[in-house]
Amino acid sequence: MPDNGEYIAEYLSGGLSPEEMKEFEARLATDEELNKEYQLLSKGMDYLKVRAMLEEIENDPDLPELDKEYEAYFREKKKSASKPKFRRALWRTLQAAAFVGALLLIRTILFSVTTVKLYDRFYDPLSSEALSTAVITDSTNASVLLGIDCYFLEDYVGAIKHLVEVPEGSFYLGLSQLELEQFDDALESLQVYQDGYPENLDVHWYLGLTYLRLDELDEALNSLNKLSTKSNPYSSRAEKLIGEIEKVKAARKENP
Amino acid sequence: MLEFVNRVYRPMIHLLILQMGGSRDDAEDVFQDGMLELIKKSEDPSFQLTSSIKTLLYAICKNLWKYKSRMNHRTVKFRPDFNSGVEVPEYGEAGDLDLYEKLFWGNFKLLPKTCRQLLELHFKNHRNKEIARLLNTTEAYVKKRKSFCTRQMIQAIQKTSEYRKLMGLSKTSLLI
Repeated sequence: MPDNGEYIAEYLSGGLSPEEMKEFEARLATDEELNKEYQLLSKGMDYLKVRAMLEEIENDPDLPELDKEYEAYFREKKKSASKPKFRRALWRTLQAAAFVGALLLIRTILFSVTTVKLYDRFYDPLSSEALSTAVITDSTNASVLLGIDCYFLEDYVGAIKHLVEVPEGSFYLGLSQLELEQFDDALESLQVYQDGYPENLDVHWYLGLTYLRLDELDEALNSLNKLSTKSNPYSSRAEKLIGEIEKVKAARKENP
Repeated sequence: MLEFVNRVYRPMIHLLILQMGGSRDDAEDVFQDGMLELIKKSEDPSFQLTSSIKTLLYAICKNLWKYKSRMNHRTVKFRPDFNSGVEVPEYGEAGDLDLYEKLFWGNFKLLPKTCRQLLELHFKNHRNKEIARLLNTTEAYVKKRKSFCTRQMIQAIQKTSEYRKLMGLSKTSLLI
């Protein structure tokens, strides 16, 4: 049997009989080494065919004339395609304006995403274990108690129904509104509660988060600072969140 | 006709554009646009074909590529598909092209003149009978000689370090 090179050469030059060609093709399917050499050499032969054709054209006496004709044709096309200077300048100005606009939009999106992400990272619904005795007393309104039950049962719409217009229940009302992403309403409810119970730590934490979610960073810091100074269940989380908010503020200052 | 032009000339235009510094995508763009120009030209009642189609297409595509390069931007436009599933041999980009040029064209050029003449006619898709007529010899001789010349060229290619590297062969195995 000839070596691979000879065998491939016979096949590529059409020197094999139809039976031998079939045999060669069958071997290609099983003989990896032959196949690898064949792939390269047949591609090379294709390259030579194309290369020979290019050389033939480059020596064609008709080519210089055609070259000139098409050079002129495309030159003319280029002239007609080029725009008047002022239109080009206008176009460039519009492009630049669009670019700046896109940058501003991206920046706005990026920053809003930052505060939203921070909120999502730090926000957790109030745990039933954290239920403050200060909130519930013997005289607590029955409607408020029902609202609180609804909150812990994750029936936030039901909670709102029971808690709305009862100042005592405004904390759980605010929490329920946060769960339903009614951030402006939540802010109002939590502020009402804070006015009545300024010592309550839970309300400072959730108020801080609500301000953050609404992108009111100074207000958020104001609420959170009330937690970080004293030792309490929120102090370490509050300190971390304050650090993150300060970073966002610094980044905005650098890239106003 | 379109199928023939596509099968035979598409690889040629691809190689031309790669040689002129374009990418494979550029080459395909130029070929498609060049074909459109060719069709437009053939529809012009005043057009008379005074050269071969391949020389005409070559001149169109070469100048079209120069024009595109000067414009330095690309516009996306609708093009009819001239592809028809015909594969263009992949020479890769500039680096691979140099390798093909050196390995195959370089060794082809080193063949004796009679071999080069015969293989060139074979590359141009001439049948053995036609080659025999052109070289004033017999068909049987052409067949035998074609095998011999192809074998000679492949043997020369196999001896190069580039080929052995591509095949993953060591230098010592060359000596065995």
